[in-house]
Amino acid sequence: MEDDILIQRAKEGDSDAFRQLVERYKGEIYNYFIRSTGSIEDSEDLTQQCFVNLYNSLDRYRRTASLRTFIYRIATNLAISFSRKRKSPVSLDLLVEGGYDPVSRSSTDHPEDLVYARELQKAYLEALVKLPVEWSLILDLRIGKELAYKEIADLVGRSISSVESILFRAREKLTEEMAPYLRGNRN
Amino acid sequence: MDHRDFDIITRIHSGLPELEPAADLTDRIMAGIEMAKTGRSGWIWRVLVPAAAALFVLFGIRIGTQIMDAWFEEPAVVQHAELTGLEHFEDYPPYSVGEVIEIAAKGGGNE
Repeated sequence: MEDDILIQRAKEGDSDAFRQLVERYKGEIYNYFIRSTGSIEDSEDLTQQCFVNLYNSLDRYRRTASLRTFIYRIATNLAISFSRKRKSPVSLDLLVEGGYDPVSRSSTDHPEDLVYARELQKAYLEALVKLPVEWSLILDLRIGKELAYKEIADLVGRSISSVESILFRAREKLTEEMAPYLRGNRN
Repeated sequence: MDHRDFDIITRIHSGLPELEPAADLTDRIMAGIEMAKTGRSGWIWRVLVPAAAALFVLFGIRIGTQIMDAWFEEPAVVQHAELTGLEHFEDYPPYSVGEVIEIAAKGGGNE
């Protein structure tokens, strides 16, 4: 069933319709938060809050933007607001303990490559969550979600040139952080 | 900065695994929404209950004032009735110096 129909039903008080929307988007929103917070617990809380906020703003949703964009706008605001309040530094240990397997999507079967890929992706994720949260969100929207610059600019409330600039700086910073791994990768 | 580094960064990011959310996350989200619904209607209680309490207090004060007025007004009414029942007023209070002087002036003292 299309998003708009589910939204309409949810507005009329149909909880099952809203549940279907939650099922449809919770995974990608949850992973969006994982990549900016590096924490399972925080990502679950933020995902929950994101959908509660979506429910509360159903009346404000207009068809001019896709529901996906609308949800990402809520999620982006929540993540930025969360990062401002967060005091403790990010640690990926709990993320790994919680089942985050950096090589689950790796296509290689060679044990050495697996170890390297695991190390590489963990290092990358560590570098990613060290970035200012807006940078990591923009990077994920561009690379992970493949959104257009205009769409990202609308989501984060910045100009396209500002988004481009942040993307450049984020990649530059990640390249610096990943330099030892990148040198190995290139050879 | 080498452009190839950017490509590698893009490849690593694209290859990041997607973590499966907890099985009960949907239920927790829906429970959160139910709570939000309650919270939304709850504002009525948050406004109505203090308003009702304030009205109750005001009503109590009003009733209390009326009771107190009734208590203090009643003797005044009796006193007024007594006063209006008297045929005349004494010039001086009984057994006062004024009364003694008045009696002496009239020559009615015990001599």
